[in-house]
Amino acid sequence: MALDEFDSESRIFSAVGTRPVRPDGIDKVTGKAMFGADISAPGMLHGAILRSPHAHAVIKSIDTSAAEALSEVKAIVTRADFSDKVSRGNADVLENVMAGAKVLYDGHAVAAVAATSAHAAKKALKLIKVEYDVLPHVTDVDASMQDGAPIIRDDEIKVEGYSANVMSRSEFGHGDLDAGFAAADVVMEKSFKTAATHQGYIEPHACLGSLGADGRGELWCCTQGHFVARNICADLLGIDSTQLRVVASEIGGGFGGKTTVFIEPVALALSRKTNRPVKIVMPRDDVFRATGPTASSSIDVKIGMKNDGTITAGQAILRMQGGAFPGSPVDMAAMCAFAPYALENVQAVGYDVICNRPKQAAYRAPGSPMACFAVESVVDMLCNQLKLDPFEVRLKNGAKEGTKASYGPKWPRIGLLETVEAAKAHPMVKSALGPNQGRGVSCGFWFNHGGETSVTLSLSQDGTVALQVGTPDIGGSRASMCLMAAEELGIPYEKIRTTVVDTASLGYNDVSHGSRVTYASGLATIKAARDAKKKLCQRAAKIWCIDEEAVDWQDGQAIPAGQNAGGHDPLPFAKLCKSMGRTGGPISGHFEATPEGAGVSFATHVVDAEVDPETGATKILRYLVVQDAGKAIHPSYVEGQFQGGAAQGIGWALNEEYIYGEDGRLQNAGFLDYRIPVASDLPMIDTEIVEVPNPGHPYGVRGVGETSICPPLAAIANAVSNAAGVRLTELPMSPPRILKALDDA
Amino acid sequence: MADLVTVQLYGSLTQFTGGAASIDLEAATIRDLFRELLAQHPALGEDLDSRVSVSVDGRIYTESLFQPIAPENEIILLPRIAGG
Repeated sequence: MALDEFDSESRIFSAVGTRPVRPDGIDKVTGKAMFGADISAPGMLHGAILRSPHAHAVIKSIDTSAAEALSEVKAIVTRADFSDKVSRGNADVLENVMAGAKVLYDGHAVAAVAATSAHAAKKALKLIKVEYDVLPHVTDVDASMQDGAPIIRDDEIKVEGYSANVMSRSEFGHGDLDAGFAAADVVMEKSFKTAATHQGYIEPHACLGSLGADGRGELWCCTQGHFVARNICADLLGIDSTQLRVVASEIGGGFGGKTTVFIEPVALALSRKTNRPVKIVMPRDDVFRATGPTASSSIDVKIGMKNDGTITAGQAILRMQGGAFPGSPVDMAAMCAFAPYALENVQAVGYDVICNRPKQAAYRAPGSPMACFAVESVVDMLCNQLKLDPFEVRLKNGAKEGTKASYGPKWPRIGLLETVEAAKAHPMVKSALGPNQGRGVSCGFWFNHGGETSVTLSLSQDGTVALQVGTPDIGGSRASMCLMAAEELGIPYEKIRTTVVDTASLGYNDVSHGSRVTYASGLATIKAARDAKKKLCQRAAKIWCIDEEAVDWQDGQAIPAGQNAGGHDPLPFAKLCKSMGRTGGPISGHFEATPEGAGVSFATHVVDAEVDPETGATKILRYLVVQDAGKAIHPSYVEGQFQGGAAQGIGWALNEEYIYGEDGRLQNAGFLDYRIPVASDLPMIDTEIVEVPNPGHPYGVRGVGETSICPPLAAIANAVSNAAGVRLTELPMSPPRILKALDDA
Repeated sequence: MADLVTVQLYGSLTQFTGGAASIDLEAATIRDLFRELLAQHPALGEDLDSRVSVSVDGRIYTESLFQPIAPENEIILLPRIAGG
């Protein structure tokens, strides 16, 4: 489809840019909203999943006879109950959903039970006897790459010089690194590590599946993409995708972690065996052990800089483990590492590594935060050594339209420098710092994405609109869609209801990921509204007996346009809706396409932190997010995305980590021991929206959901390091790690 | 006959092209580009189009097989862009 969709920078908006109450808000704060675990059905059974206690083992046998002897138990499934003709793209998904010959991590599913109560299902799990042949394991990314590491999948060497656990190597860059480093006055090198962190959504995975022996079924689940869930489940169960209708519940957080399936195919397999609906709600420890955290990483960065702040060369070597399956986000990390800088000499190399850990899942801008942490830490070290202003160095070297990105293409119009300028001018930067306090600055980048999208906009006789979308609302998108439809149609926001409809009610929609919903579903909503407006103008033309070209749409009504149109009274939207049955039939607007004009987004974050040298505890004093949103449709929700990314980044930087014991088992599978930030850990996170329009969207929208988590790790690490007087190179910067760094200094 | 365009490949793809990081081929659309690339370098694999995105003058295409491309365009194959 056409790319240059942008209307005009001089357009004056009436609805877009306002801050109305979100349409789902009251349901959520009163408990009326239906989340995954709220769905039940008559005759429903309860499912539970048996998981491996070993990090790596061959499954020698599974004996289910004792469990099956329980009267409450109605079915047990193992890998044999899933399709043996799964597509290549979903083979690893199936292997993760239910282990085959081997278990690959602590928590890997090996069998599942459906029983008449949750208690009985749990009791039955204890009666299933699994005989394992335990194998050596590895959970550290660097150790997994070494010769002699336990081999997890197959022993074929894919990348010369490393163990068979290194699945691929990728490289980006241009120029002459040696010449670049030779031209520098200072060359700084440092190595960094980041822990695997979970998305930390409050709502555990939950679903209710009903599948008959005839291959027809229904699935209700909390997901970021019910069309994708439908297709994967159908593939894993060997049924036609359209025979499975999937309904997305409200979602209590996803952040990328709910873009695939874990329990849904299991519930459907159990249902097919019992011919009864089966509900599965994941316990919290299962969420930690068996759903995807993000990758852990080990990164080396080398940057050369002249005394005046000019960066002459940059190099990053990134190693990421994504659990026991290939597909860590190291490619994305390598592409994002130096994205904020226009460099003549740059190289980023990525290694995708597997370990005995759960299959990683996407987590907000996958890979970018870790790469940003390493690169922006070294930039900060250079600024300190050369006594340079961190804003000026970023302005001096910053990427802008026409410069070549480190991953290849020339940048189109982008707003990085605008975010740096806004951050530099912000009052927070003038705040004085006290003892043990430090300031950190970082820029960050994410691509954003379009994806397959369908929208239908149906008019009702009373002058209201039903807008049907297929992208689950994970960040206030129903409000944004209503605003864009209201803007186009010229009717009040309150006259539109946006519904996330099921997979049988609309054409295909990709997952709500890649910061794509406000961009792609928004573009589709605008196009569907324009389609409806065209039809409304045609009706007005019929009523007035004039050509449809002689009718315009203005301020929510059809008006005659041009000298030959005649002197007709305007026909308001509601009046045209009321008569539509008699003027040609119901009116709906449609849009189905794959928009490809997603605009990349940059952000600049500034953090003031205080470190207690006696306890190693860090307090975030002030936090500023400045980000390019292209055009903020509902500014409150844009700000909310900014704040949410910063809050998650604070947790990632300071406390969150997957901790594995020597036995390869996860030691902190719960919120008591895996410490996400609570309100008392957070300052008021200040925000500033920059609007540099994206030419690929009619209103200039850029995705905002992910970029906000790219700079926090680096900005906080820079603030903490500057406060402590010692460089912190490993995340999380928990109190013991800070105390050790102070002791070692 | 389509014009000659130049496509640049990111690092991990060059192992399937004998190390070539810049390839000239005749293509008028992204679909042509994939066809010609596979004809010249079968090791890239039949599913190449589902594993990559194509940057055309900085705009990243993931699904648009019929997007026109021309000799004056900067064309780069990138890992498929997704997100969270």
